Amino acid sequence: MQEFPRLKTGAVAQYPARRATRYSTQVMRFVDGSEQRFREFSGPLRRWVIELSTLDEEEMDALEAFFLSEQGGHGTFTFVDPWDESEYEECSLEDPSAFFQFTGFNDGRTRLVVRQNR
Amino acid sequence: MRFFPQLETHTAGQYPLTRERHERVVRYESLDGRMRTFYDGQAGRVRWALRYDGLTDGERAAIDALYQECEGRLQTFIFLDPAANLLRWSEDYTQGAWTVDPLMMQEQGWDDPWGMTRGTRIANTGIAPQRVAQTITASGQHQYCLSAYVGGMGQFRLRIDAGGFLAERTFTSQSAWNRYSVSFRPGSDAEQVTFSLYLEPGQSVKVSGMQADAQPAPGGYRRTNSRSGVYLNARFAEDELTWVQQAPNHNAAEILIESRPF
Repeated sequence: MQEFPRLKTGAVAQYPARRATRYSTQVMRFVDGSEQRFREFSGPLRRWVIELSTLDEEEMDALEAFFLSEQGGHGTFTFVDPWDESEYEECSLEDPSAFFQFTGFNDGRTRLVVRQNR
Repeated sequence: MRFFPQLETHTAGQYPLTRERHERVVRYESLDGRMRTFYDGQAGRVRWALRYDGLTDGERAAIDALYQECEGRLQTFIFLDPAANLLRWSEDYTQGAWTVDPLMMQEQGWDDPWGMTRGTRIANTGIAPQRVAQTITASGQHQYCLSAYVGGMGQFRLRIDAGGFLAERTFTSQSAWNRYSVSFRPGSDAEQVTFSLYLEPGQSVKVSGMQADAQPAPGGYRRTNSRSGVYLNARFAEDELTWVQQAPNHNAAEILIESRPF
């Protein structure tokens, strides 16, 4: 299985790093005001926003090649959580579109959102 | 054929330059969070946002002329991605995109400049110069730069030719990997440009990372496979093109171009 590319520094993400934890809860409210709640997910799902800047051309190239090999959000890959180094095996890109902006020589910028699947 | 023009600096783009990739994926998410995805391989799009500033009237007129010839989004033109390698299969010279002379022997799996084993050892076993070459559809009026990483001890030539005009440089490689390049603007009306690496009889070198750029100097190396930065059916993405003249001979615009990725 593929791995999300690391930068030349060995890091996956840069500051500001964003990580979200998602649950899904169904809530049934009754006429008397009471409610019953059901857990829809068997556990939480994670989501990371990877915003990268000041990338050189090789790093930009590696990220773009990764996006293409993942066919947008179709493929799955292993993602190492930059917050705690935990490994998540079933991850995919959330957005089937991505931009790769060259703001200067060896000064690239991109943004990819990674979601954990079940 | 219609070609997107180069600027007077012999480049197609200015910073900032944005390339967007759009793929189409159909997704079904179940209540329990499970996901099923389907990839539509024919629906991908590439899009560029070229933000120009300080263009001369001549540069503006060239882009305007192409825009009028294309009638906005209607017709296609050939676009050379300013931030891409114009050659396909930049590390695999056994692919059909490359023309390899019959007495040029190839051996893959050698070391490369990146500490991997993607280098290819090539050797001329004939009595005449032999070449590895790739021809692309591009304007003979544009500026190009051919570069390659070469290692091992040997003599070789890098050549760019279009419509009978050619430039070549001879190099002698020492044992360490180095990047060598040749730059040329053919100035011909040809619609194909050929990029070649020639070896003299009896010579042998290791090669990897061949790259062509539509600019005077090599850009950062970009590995390619079946796709390159040559887009034969690019279009303007909008039916309106607005120029802002900030001073005499000083024009600005944002031009959006899109294409299918193959």
